[in-house]
Amino acid sequence: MKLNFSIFSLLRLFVIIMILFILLAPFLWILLASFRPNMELVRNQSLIPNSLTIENYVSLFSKSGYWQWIINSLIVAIYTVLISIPLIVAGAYSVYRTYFWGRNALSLFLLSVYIFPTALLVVPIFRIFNDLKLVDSHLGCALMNTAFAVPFGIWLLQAFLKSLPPELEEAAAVDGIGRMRTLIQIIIPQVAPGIIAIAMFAFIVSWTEYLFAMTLLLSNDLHTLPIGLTGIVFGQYRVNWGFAAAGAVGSAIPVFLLFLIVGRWFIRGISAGAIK
Amino acid sequence: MTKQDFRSRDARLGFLLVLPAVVLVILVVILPIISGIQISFTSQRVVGSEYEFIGLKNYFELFEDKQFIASLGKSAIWVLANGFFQTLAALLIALLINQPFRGQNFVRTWIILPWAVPAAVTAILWRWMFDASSGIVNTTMKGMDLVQKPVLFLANPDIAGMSLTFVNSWRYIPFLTIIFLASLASVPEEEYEAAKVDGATPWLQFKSITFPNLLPTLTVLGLVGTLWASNVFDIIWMMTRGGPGDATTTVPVLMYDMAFYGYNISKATAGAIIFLFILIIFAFVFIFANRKQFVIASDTFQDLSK
Repeated sequence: MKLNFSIFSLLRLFVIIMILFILLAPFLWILLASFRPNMELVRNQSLIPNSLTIENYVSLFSKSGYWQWIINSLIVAIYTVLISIPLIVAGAYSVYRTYFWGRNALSLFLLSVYIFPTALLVVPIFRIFNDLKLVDSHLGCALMNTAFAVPFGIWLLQAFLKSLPPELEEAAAVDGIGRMRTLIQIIIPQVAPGIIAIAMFAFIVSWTEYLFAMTLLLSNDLHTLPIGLTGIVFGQYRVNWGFAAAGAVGSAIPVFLLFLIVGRWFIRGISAGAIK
Repeated sequence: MTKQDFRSRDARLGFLLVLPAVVLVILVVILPIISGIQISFTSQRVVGSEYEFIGLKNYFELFEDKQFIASLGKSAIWVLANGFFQTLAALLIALLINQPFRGQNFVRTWIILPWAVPAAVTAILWRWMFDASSGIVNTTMKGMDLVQKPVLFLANPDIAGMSLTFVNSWRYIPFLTIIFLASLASVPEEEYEAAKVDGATPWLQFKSITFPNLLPTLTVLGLVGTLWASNVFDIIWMMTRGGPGDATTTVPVLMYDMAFYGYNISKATAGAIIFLFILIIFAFVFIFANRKQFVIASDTFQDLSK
């Protein structure tokens, strides 16, 4: 019996390591490729590099719009996060902790955003944003990202909000504290980890967004990282793999840093607080 | 303050709080759909060009368009393979790493990385890994004598769809896994302890505690995940552009190509509306079939405002 158990846990560990390998090894592989000369990547099929170079990074950092794209991506992502958080917190509080007729229908209506065939309705979106003077603006792009971050963000906060006891509001009501003040002074501090999580969610939604940025940001100097990267990598007839690898690493590093700093808060913020 | 008074004030506040999100969704979803329906009834070919009203002609043309019908089929397979498979795989992985082990926190933090990088990075990673002559997957398989000739993961029409499904799953499964993990962590510990006292087997615990507690999450991810999968565009566009031939041309890819490379915006938009209509029917059936799981909020706060 004891033996069986340890075989099972060894097997489990093996499967976990395999999953982790499939999910993360490509990043290490591309990191290695980014330090190899392109010609060697194309000709040499060995796993161990013959020579290492930083030329791919030199061309990424000094001959492409990398820094501009990073700044643009950050601007759009920060707008998205700043607009999303109040909308998500207010929306989630409304759906999960107030009572009014139709709140279930409204929350389903919000989730209906994801029915929207994004690739297919960029034309009408372009028209409407053109009328609103939001074309070629980072704010317009951020509004689009916000619309797609908010509905799921509201749902992500549910576990946290539902885990708070209703006595919080009851006690506040007995003390004569209004519902709005209860939300701001009592509930929001309680859901702080949840807010970090939805901020990360909104950030990633914006950081990875491709289609709306491509449609709405016309000027080259407004382009975000995914647009710029796609242009320099897949815009050419032959892909320069060394350079592409450096571009991929350069785009993954900001996300890597984000998760290094606040990554462990993500899962904590979307669960009801059982994770230490 | 009377009870009635309190209740109506509470309702008003609740409605006002959710209003901004609703307005934003109407602005970027409902209005474009109305505008899209208008465009689909015209003959407009490029943005800003002259056009006239042609009624349902675009729709009739699409129903006779073999390429469009084929893309509907490919989208159906894509959604089944991605939406369904990903949810199931994520659930299994979450159950696997939910039990404590050394390094659990590391796994819980970093497993999500594939979801957090732009699709362009994913496309570079996997086009490079799948490369016929110098990609790691092919060189490894050759080195182990598993294959004689390199596998053309993205250039062989029989395999390209599977390769893309793999890459897209690689991208989304981590995120779904994290959500399941969070949901598992929210199951009250007392329920398991009580079950252990009663001598319940692990399978019985799963069936009577874990699964019922996961069901609302599973249902929402089933709906949202299917919708996400059906609208996947960027990763297909960057890796195969719908090719080789039409092998990976799902509806979003075909419509995008038709609108911006085939210069037929109105017909492409009509195709989008048909696709949207199918998704709406799916969503209604799904929500109706699982309506008990979609009662989003508990009724605790109904009592509070009485």
